[in-house]
Amino acid sequence: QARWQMATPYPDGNFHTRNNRAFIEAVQTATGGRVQVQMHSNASLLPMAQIKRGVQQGQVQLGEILLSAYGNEDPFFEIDGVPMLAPTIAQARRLNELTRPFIEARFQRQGLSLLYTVAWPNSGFYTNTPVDTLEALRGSRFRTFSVMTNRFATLIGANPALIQAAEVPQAFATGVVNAMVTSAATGVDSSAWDFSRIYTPVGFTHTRNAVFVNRRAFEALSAADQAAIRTAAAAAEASGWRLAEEAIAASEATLAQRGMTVARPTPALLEALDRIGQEMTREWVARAGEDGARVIAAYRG
Amino acid sequence: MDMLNIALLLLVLLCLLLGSGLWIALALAGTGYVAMSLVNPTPGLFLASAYWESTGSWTLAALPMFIWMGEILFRTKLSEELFNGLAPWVRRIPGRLLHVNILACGIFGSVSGSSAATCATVSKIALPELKRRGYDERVAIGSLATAGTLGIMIPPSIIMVVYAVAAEVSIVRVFIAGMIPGALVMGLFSLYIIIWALLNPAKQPAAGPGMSLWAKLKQSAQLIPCILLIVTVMGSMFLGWTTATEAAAFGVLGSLVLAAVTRCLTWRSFVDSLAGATRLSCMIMFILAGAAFLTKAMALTGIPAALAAAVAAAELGPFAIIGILTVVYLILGTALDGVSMIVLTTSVVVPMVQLAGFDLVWFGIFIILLVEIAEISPPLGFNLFVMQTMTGKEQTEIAWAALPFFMMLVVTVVLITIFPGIVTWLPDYLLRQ
Amino acid sequence: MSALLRRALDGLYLLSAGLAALSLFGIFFVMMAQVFLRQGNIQLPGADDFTAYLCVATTFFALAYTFKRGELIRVGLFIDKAGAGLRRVIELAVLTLAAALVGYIVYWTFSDAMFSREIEEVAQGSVPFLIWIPKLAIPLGSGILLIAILDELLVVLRGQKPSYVRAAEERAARGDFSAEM
Ligand code: NA
Ligand code: NA
Repeated sequence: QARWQMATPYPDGNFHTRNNRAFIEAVQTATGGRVQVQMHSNASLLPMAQIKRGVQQGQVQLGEILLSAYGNEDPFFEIDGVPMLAPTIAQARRLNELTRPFIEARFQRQGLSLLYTVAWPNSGFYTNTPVDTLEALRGSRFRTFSVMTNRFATLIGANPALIQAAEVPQAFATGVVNAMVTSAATGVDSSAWDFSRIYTPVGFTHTRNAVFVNRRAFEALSAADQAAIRTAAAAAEASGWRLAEEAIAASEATLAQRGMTVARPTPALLEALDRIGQEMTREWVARAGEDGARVIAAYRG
Repeated sequence: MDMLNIALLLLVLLCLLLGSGLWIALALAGTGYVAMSLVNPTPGLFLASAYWESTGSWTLAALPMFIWMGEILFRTKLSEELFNGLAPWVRRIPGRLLHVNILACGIFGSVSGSSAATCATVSKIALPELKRRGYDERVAIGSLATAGTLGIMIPPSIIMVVYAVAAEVSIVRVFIAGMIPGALVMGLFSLYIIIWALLNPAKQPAAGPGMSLWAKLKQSAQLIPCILLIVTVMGSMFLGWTTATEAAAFGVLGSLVLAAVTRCLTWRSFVDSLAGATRLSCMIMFILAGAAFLTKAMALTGIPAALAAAVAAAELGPFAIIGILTVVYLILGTALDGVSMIVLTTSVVVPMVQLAGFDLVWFGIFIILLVEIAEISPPLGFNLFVMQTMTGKEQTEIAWAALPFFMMLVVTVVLITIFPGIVTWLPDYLLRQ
Repeated sequence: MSALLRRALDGLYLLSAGLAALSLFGIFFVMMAQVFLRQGNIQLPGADDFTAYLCVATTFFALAYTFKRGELIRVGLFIDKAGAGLRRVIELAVLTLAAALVGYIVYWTFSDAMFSREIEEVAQGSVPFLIWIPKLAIPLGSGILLIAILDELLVVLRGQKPSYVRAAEERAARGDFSAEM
């Protein structure tokens, strides 16, 4: 019997965490209790930045990360963070299918095995003034949290401000920042209505969480148990994407119900964003090399 | 061996290690090692991540900044001026300048997000001055140790952010919700000081001579530098120049300027303040690292979650749940720090509390109060450690001195349970659409 | 012990503490730079990660010196009341236990830093700092603490009072703890 530990970064109410819980229950059932998993959500065992290395090291056996946070390690992981590359969930699914083998190969080399990936819902701008055109963000103090969002802010003429997630509400309330980009789901998690007025969903990104296992621990299981876990992982991937899709409408409804204006993006805004997206895609391909070029070619083709 | 026995054994071990005179940070690491060895083959891996992540954090960096601020101000005339400026106004209030402890912790708490930093900064300024003026040391120490915890009750607050993220409630709402209970706690502390002073008139220093209003005002002019400093630090936040963490560094800048303008800044005093701040920060953060390792051990053993689950399984009425949770958190609070108490239990406790019909913002303030209590309950209470360094007195002695104020926090817990509006009214009023 | 070795060791503790104090000053400097540059709409890349690393360095490089000065606190309730003979036995026991624990910390945090190096772990922020370099502050600082603990262990074995006790007594004799001017 194997007793595994799983470290995940997001709080319990989040749909990723709920999906993970369903997954480990399925694993325990499908393996007849031969694999027991203790889950530590909300970074209670390991913070996000320590989870991947923790699984590599065998400290814990299962982990979940936001893939695009690992762009410094390998530019390929950053593909999810390229703005406007996959503005709809259908496109995100397609990109997911295309990139999966590349991610799997990279994980394999690091002693990991990818189990499933689930997207975050459609993201958009949180502001206090309408964003009818991209010009509206010029000169704003734009909260950034990664190399990609930083570059985006620079390209649109906004002033990037590096603010930790925990300090966002206060930074917004006092004007340290006045614009940010994140999903409606995260907006609900952090009660965005208490510090901002307008949400403009533009399908900025559909970043993905990846759930993976330490390869040595996984291969120590019987072939039947490994297969059972793969089956459970496939089911978790399917249900996770369904939850992500449902979360879009539900989260936007919650934002609206709490008094925020959920603004439809204007064609002018989308067009301008698309231009920035094209440029950032080119930049990304230059960084990600041959594999990157192949994925983009297949995705466009 | 069942979970409860393991938990008790570990607590006994911790007390033994601490009692033997082993350094506190190492006693925590040792207990963490034993606890984790029971359930995991490689405690060392978790020790390494605990030491790295607990000391290497952006928000934690505010702590050494506030401590340095205290060390700089301690080397200026600020504390003397603060007490001189307030003295004429509190002449008739029993307990007189002891109330300044509470007020100063409240004001400083609205700049600092941590209870150890508030306690360290205010004690550094207030203790020597109170001692010089002949105030009762015991009440001064007890009030400072406890009122220092206002740092996490009055926004900004690191612990509130941790709770809000874990329970997925609005950080802004929890911040605002802490204001009235924070004021209530201050009021109760002052009330205790008044009662104590009336009962122990012999322990009061002689009152200064009475003054005319003009003389009072003239003497209060000494408060100007202090007020300027507070306005600068708070202003930097509210004008959107700094985040809550950066405001700490802004406080250091303000203190350096103040020291320079009042001619208290020499190369020597600068180096001394920096060295003092480094040692105190080192002591606190090394303990934090040990505590973080113990926390990971607790997460792997599943003890806190099991305790919370046992409460959930009992299927009690709402008030019984709150009563038992209070007891559970009081027990956890003896040996865990505030952040650990929250992250290790929210998974189980938050859904249960929600089901029982409690507002999660309200519950956040409830937990914050219990964390405040934990900070001053031995064997592991950070404010006790800070005061130990400040006074050279034993932890137990400080804990006894803090006991009456501890009781005031318990009274606050009861009050907000009976009148939840104390917590929920202000955020609802300010954030109504 | 030769006077030269004594001077070398004390110099090591002081040097390490100096590095810690510089790190603390660095936190202040980086935060202020970030605030003022933001006013000019300039971003200081990697400021958040760098500040966190300075925080680690402040903690661990100051350990040995803080320990020697008796400011790494402990509960002295029983040990202070014990008679000279018993006290010496307890001091030896806790110093040995402390050495073992700190040795464990040094070993595992060093191997952790080496693992970060092996997998080329980088920071996730806007500057890809190599994580193993700031991580080394932990085994280095703890290692110097370990030397200081062994140093004190020898002192007690020779029947002398450990420096952390002497320092605390001197402070007590001066009477005022918060006033160390
Ligand atoms: Na505060
Ligand atoms: Na405690």
